[in-house]
Amino acid sequence: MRSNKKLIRLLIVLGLMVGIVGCSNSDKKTDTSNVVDEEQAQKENLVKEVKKVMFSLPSPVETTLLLKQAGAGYDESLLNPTSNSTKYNTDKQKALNLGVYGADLSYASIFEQDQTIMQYMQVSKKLAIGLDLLAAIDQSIIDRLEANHDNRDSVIRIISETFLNSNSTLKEDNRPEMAALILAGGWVEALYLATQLTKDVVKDKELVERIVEQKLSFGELTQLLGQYTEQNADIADVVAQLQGVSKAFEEIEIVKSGIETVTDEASGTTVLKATQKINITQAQYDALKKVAADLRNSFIQ
Amino acid sequence: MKKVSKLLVLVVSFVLLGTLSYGQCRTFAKSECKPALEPYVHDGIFNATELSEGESAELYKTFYSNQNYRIAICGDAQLPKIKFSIMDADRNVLFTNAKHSFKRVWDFKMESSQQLIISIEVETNDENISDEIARGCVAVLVGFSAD
Repeated sequence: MRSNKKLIRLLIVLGLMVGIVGCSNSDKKTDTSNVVDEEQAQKENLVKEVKKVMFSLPSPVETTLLLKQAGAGYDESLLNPTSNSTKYNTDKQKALNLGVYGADLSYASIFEQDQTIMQYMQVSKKLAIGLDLLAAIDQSIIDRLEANHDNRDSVIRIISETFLNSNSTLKEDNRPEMAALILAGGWVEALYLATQLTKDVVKDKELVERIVEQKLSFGELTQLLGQYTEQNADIADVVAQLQGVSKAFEEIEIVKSGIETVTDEASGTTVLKATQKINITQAQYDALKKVAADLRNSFIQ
Repeated sequence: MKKVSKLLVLVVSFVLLGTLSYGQCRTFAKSECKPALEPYVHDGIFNATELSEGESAELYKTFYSNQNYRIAICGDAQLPKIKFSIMDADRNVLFTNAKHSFKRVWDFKMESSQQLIISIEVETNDENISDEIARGCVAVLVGFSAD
């Protein structure tokens, strides 16, 4: 009888714990202190009413597409070699490098490197299986990729589908922190590729601007990871590792104007008009490039 | 021992219910929301959550200059209208579908890269007087032009 009571207590505690973990990502109330004027108070009240906060990182496909549009070339030697995949034994290594390989795969797809695309999809599948994500990259995905390898638009859509499968499955399985690690790996690899392909802040002005703009999504990355640092040591490690990138970005200034919206009634598309000015020196860029390389190389070891 | 069995069933049901509802949310987002992004390419990120009437959520995301985007918002059929607003980082409202017949998609282009806040809110259903509060999945998907 005593053991039954103990078991009952244990089950109640277990039930409460599951409930708490399940809701941990949802109730993020924003601080509403330090209200300075009526307009600010209204905005703060708006935030106060909000219960759920989500952060969304750019897709590696989108980031690498932007790099190509800004003039970046293709350099296969920059990719994380597929042979490295055998070294990844822990869930942290597998998740980070699934993100890294996903970014490499995206980069190869944007530049239509058929053979590399297949190799990196296969290695991504292997890591996905290691993370119990069998459904994310199943054989039908590989088959569709092979059948559509000469159609860049189809390849990009198939790769985006694998990203959706991975992060939705992990969130469904109540493993959002693993999804965050994959996204972090992909974000860091995209920054690494971009910085390795860009040397001079004057000659490569457009590319440098694209790289510096990652300062904005870096904020979202740290906030996303920050949701899990207390309960996940792997995430806490990655957040600590990101400090170098954080400091390098802090040195670089982005000055923005306000946004004005203009809608083309015929197409239904709205243009958000605004200007920005990026203040960066070669030394600041070189520092960012170095910390990005150090961080990425620590991920793929 | 019967009490233990009942509690065990309760706990297991609680766990399964959470997993099942999230799984339904994923299926819903893929089947109902993703097609609304066409011809844009989905960015591959799954942004979805369960909301009740009157509840709201926010999504923070960076959008890049000279890129065309589509945002698609979808909610379960049993939910009332879903209002979505786009704000800049200072929370100035740039667009709200409340002024556009609660349409589900918004196409836009950025002249400079910005972090935007997508605010979604499930309206309360004043017409349906009932003790039950509607609850369901709401998904926010983002597509970009790959041209």
